[in-house]
Amino acid sequence: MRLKKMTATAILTAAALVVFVIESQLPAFTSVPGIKLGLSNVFTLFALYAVGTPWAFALLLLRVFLGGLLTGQLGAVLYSLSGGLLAFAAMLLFKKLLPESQIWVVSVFGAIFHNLGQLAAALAITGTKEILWYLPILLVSGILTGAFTGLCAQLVLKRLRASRFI
Amino acid sequence: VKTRTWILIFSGLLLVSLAAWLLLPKLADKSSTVGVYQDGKLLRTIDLSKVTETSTFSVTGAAGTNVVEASPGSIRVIEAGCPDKICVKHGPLKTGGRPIICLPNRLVIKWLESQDAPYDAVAGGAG
Repeated sequence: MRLKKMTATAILTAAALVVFVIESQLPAFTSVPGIKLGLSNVFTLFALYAVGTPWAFALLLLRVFLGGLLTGQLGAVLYSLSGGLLAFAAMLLFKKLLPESQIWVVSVFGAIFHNLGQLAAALAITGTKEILWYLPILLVSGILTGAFTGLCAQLVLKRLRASRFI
Repeated sequence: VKTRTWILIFSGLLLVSLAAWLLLPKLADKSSTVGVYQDGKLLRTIDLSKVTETSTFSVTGAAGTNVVEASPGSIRVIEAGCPDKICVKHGPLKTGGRPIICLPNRLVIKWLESQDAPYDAVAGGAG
């Protein structure tokens, strides 16, 4: 069982990294720092529900560090990590409160807290309080991208459960 | 909580945030002096109302070099060494609060309130 979970986590991590690297190569579509679709969160969410909490946490940490290495942006790891950890904590909490038909809600809270964590890191690193002017638009992007990635994970999970694959 | 309720909650938050994003900059003080910061340290201050001709200077950080262009009444980043170039896409610093930010190089260009600006801020200066 443990081996099965470890294999599943390894495959999901590899897939998450591929998606992360591809997404990082796309040109930014806004002039606002910190806005992205965050597709690799689909894999973290999926692992959280289908494999287990510690495995999903391992996936997140591996994705953040290996993603930083693969994209050559180690400087971004700090923002990624503070956002990722806060998002993971929020998703764990809301996963306990909400049914599997509302994974997208869990994901929206995850995305909002991801953006808050990133903003906090940027605030600490640059020491510029004016960065908070970006808070409203980061909430908007968190709600939209979180709902999208959450819905992806939710629909895949629902179909795999229905076909007894997991 | 029903899914419909969540949709209402998030739609409400979305609208409030969008309104805040669009309206808040209108409340900001008008100023003509900008500060260029790296790693939270003030590198230079420029009074844009005293700039008479366009000049550029560069700021180098971990992710390469940013070239900043100061022209009469306006300042923007014209080149960046980082991949996303968000600071270049930002365009000129507009009135209202939003600073130009290059997170990879920890570079911030923002308006200074009149009390934090030195009295005789030098325009441009040596790059």
